[in-house]
Amino acid sequence: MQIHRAMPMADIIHINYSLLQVITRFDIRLGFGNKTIEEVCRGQGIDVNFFLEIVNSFHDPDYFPDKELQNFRLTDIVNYLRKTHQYYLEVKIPQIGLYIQQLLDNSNPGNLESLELINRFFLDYRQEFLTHIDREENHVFSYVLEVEKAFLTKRLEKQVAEKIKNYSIDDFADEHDNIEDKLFDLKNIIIKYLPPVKDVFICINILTELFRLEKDLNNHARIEDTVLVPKVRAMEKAILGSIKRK
Amino acid sequence: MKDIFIIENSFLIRSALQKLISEHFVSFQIHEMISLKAFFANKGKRNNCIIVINECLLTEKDEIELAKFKEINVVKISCEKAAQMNDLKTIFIDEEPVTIIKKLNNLLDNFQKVRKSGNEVRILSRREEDILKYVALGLTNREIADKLFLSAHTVITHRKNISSKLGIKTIAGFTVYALLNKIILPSDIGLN
Repeated sequence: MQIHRAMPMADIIHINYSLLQVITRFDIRLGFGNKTIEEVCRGQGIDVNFFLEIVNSFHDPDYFPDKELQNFRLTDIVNYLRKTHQYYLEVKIPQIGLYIQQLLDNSNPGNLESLELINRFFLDYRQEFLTHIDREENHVFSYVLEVEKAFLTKRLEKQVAEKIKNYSIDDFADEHDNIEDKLFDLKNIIIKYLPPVKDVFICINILTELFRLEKDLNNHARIEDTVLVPKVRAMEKAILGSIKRK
Repeated sequence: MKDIFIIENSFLIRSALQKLISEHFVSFQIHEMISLKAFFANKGKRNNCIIVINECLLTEKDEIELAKFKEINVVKISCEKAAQMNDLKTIFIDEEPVTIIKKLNNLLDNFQKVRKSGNEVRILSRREEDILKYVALGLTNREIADKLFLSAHTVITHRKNISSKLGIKTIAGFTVYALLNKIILPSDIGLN
């Protein structure tokens, strides 16, 4: 089911409560009464087309971007993706780290060594995650914004065209490395191979958080692949075309 | 392990045990014999089993012989009255069925614990474990192929199988698995 602008905002939360995370990234607060999506977005100064693209691709893994809705600024996407990164760094990862610390605090001589392995694996994962985010924040996003600027202002096209030849958004899409693999392994190691621990609820908490993070990361990657990449690709093509014509 | 051998020359005792055991251990195959000779003659099924044997039929020499097999558990049947209640490896003639079952159950538990650390329940084949070890130590497919005299293609196939069997995709994940299962030691990869 596609989410559309005339639906009450409250309804989409009832349909899929994971969207709570998404509306928070748009700085939308609860308490929207019977206001529709369009009304809430207007009140917050949010591009409603962009909002619909995000919630739809988050909500439905098979959602195909709607051509009519593609008319928003890349700055909006980048801001949204940055907010998501911030949420991972400031909320999710520390939370999982906290649970893993609890696991270590609950260890006994028999399983301490195994739990330390889990901790080490998690720390490695965290490091990889930080590197991944750092690369997107400091390279990919600034490149994307430059492309958009050249596209909109028709200035500096030559310099940007050089950059496109060097590193295009398709290169990013190709090497968009799979940080989900390690997450998958961490889950399976805890589920299948970790020796029994005293407090099973800590493991349940860790696993629940890992499953949630995984789902969120999948949605995040899909937005990058289905919303960000095609739009940047189209702009790159237009810039290269306009250079050729000159 | 799915075999229990009841070795007892008294028909009455043997058939009573057979009835009791078959009711409580449905997944086991029960073999009735009147002497150990028949057991030794029975090739193939002699590892990983439980033998319930009349102690009069078991000589010291037999015990030495039995110790040569892998993972055989022996329970003796004693015609004496139960003097030592905590002798878990002997069934006494005057014992209640519930006690006998408890003793056999206890034996099976221990047995399965031993097997867990032993060979039987391993997820990977020995070959796959060899490959996993080298992957965990950080060797490339080519290096592993050279070490084990395999083609790189075979190593890749093994790796795919290992990955799907374990549900692990990354090298770091393989390393943790290998450490948890003592396939490699922390010192092998420079950890203390």
